[in-house]
Amino acid sequence: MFSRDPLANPEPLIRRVYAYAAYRLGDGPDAEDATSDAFERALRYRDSYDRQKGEPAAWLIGIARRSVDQILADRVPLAEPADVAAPGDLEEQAVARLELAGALASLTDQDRELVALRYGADLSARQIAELFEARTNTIEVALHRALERLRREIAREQSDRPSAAAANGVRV
Amino acid sequence: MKPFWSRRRSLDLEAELRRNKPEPRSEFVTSLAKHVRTERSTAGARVALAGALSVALLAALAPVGALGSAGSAAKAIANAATRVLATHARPVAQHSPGASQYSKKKKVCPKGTKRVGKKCVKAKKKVKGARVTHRGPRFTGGKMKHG
Repeated sequence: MFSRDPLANPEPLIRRVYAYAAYRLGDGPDAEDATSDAFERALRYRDSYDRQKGEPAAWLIGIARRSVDQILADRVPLAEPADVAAPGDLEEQAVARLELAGALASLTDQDRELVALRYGADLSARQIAELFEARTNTIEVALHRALERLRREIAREQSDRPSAAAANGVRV
Repeated sequence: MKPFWSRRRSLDLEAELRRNKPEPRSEFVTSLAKHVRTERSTAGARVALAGALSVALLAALAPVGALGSAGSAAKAIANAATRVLATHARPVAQHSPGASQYSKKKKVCPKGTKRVGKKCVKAKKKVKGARVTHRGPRFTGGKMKHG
């Protein structure tokens, strides 16, 4: 019975669900709330899990999507995310993370969700297509376009910043 | 012109998205995993307890005919279901003018013939002056007194 339990090994699933939620909601308490809520729902409905329809991660991400949507619907619209710290004070990795977060925030909800599913939850294009009830090719094209927009946004952010970064002695 | 690092980062955007994937706090992962494990084991224990209670109940009631009672109850349920689900034909009076319209017609032999087996054969004519074997009331014995 437990060999078919989708929640038999929860840690890697928690990480994937959290990464997905954080890509959509931002790193922090909202992503944690969405992850907890998704697991609560999964515990309640785990009898509905069908092994033949897919792996536990895809099933769980399907549940997490609803949790994230709920939080997004309840969320009070905020102003543009401000820079938390000057780039010069941060490590290269942290700068990249900040830039990425900023660029992701500028994407549309649909683009952000696609990126979150592909790179946060590590789902394949086929699995995402099943979630959206779309063709795999359609998802691949949509992902490609979302990445292009993200690239452009990052480039724009970098072009806005070089003088400040150079002043702080950061290699950009 | 973009510096080398920026260009490389633009090209490796997919790798960067994976590398910079948001990671949950370790305490959060630990506590949530613990909660999930506890809930799983509680649910499993609940199922096991229900099964054990059912077995114990059957074992306790077996000497007083629990199995027979359960069997007859199942039979009663099956009978009730059959009664509910079975379709009944409309009752028709068997000996009624309506019913007789559809009965098998009786073959009537033509006049002057009579049925012998399945066939109608010509009946024999009565011969005039034939010996009368019996006329009037039957003699019941004893002499009649006249006068």
